[in-house]
Amino acid sequence: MSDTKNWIKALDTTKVARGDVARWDHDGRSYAIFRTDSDAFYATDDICTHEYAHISDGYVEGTTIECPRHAGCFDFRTGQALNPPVCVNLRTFPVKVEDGAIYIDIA
Amino acid sequence: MSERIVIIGAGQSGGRVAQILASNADTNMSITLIGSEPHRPYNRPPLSKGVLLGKSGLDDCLVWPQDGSVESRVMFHAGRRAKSFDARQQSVELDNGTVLEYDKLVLATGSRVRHLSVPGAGAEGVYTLRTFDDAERIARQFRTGKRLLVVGGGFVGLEIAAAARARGLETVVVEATHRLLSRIVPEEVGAALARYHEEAGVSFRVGSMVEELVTTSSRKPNAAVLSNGETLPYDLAVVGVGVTADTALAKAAGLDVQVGIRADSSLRTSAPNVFACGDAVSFWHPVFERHVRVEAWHNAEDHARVVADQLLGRPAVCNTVPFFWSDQYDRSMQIVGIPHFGSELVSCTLNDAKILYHLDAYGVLVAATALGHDRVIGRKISEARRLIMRKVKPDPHLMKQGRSLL
Ligand SMILES: Cc1cc2nc3c(=O)[nH]c(=O)nc-3n(C[C@H](O)[C@H](O)[C@H](O)COP(=O)(O)OP(=O)(O)OC[C@H]3O[C@@H](n4cnc5c(N)ncnc54)[C@H](O)[C@@H]3O)c2cc1C
Ligand code: FES
Repeated sequence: MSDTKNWIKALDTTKVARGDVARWDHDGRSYAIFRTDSDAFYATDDICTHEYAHISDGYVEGTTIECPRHAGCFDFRTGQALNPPVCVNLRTFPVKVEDGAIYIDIA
Repeated sequence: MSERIVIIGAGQSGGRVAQILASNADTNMSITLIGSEPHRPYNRPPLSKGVLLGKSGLDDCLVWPQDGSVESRVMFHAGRRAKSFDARQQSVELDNGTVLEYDKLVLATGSRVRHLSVPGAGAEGVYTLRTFDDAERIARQFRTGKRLLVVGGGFVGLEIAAAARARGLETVVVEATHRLLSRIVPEEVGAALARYHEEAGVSFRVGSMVEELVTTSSRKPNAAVLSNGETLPYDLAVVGVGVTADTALAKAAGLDVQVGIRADSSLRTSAPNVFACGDAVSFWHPVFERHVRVEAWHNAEDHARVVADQLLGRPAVCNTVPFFWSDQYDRSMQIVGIPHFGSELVSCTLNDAKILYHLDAYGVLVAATALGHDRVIGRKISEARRLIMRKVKPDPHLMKQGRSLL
């Protein structure tokens, strides 16, 4: 199957610890790249949908990221807003890992 | 037969209870919401920030989604005050004489602002900030006013001062105690906060009280006379000397009231079928094993969820660790837990941020207070919340060094 996605190389996998998140800035935008304890990778917009904060500065627990400013939470796999004050979902992006690097389709 | 739910108080907490019921209850439940303000339920935190700056309007603050889904399901009496309720008859009387019977009642009456009791306190140009209408009035005065006097160096007072500076007003904060937020945050944090405000051009008079607000012969604002003898000219004054739980209705109905409306950890009051939520409640907190009353946005949310769950037939208790935030310029001030349950402080400095851990006599973490950029303090506060929940005794050395505690 041909790959129609527009993959852009983001970070080396070593830049994101297990159970953690890292910020990646590209073309004037910030992305949050997550790595679960079981080594699955996910990417979302890095700016909270409530007011303004980089969610990559927040606290990761399981598959949840808690915003560092007002403690709103998102499921980073789906971007779903889980509790107020956040009520708008985060945008998510397809991710793949190849040769130790994380690629994101930011189209 | 249908179940009749009546909610008194259409602020954040009461509004959220109504919303959760509206989207989850079956059609047998009738939901009535009574609010003395003319507006749909709204969030108050933006009042002292975006609304004063003229950046946010009522629509930006509303609790309910704008699609009308809640309104279509809830009988909302806006601009109506509940005058009294009878816990035995299970009925509520409104200020227009209407009597509503209930099967379950929710008291969400919130807080009431304290006023100054000095000569001139009721004069023109003296405001308090609790409601959206208050905020709009003050925002309007910000456009023409030049000299603002803020009475009270608490969170709301400081946020008003920050907004006023951003709009170019000369701003003086008068605080009766010897430092800012003396009852709420440790001295180090109060001092750091004062520095941010001074850098933004706010001046302070601490340890002084306003003794009189003097008006001109045409009753226009003129000057404040302080206990230190100073006379401060002003043309706009905002009084932020705190709030008290609005318990009048509950008291008159014979409910147990102490500081707030007394409730158990499921937010059931001393009267059958009467719940209470939000600022007005003093509830039994299972983690701290004491009654706590919290004036904070997250608390009002947590309470609303616990009450709504039970009205929907699902048992629930409120065991979340209280969390408060205040945005101060580009920094954030965050408090998790109940600082005054602590008797010992461990302080940690990370870059220019401060995190203070509050421990009780046994070394159990009961609260953390932080001031700094959310980049630095956010994770520490999230971590502290989990530790407090588990009643952990963290290693003071690790706390001091800002190392991971989990
Ligand atoms: C200016 C300001 C800034 C704030 N900023 C922050 C912040 O940054 N962070 C934070 O965590 N918290 C903040 N708070 C606190 C937060 O807004 C409150 O904790 C929250 O509003 C409590 O919700 P509540 O529903 O219990 O009470 P409220 O929102 O006060 O609602 C109670 C409502 O009940 C109505 N009512 C009372 N009695 C009756 C009656 N008899 N009949 C009918 N209606 C009645 C009142 O008119 C009111 O509308 C702020 C508060 C203010 C005022
Ligand atoms: S900015 Fe993220 S919850 Fe408010």
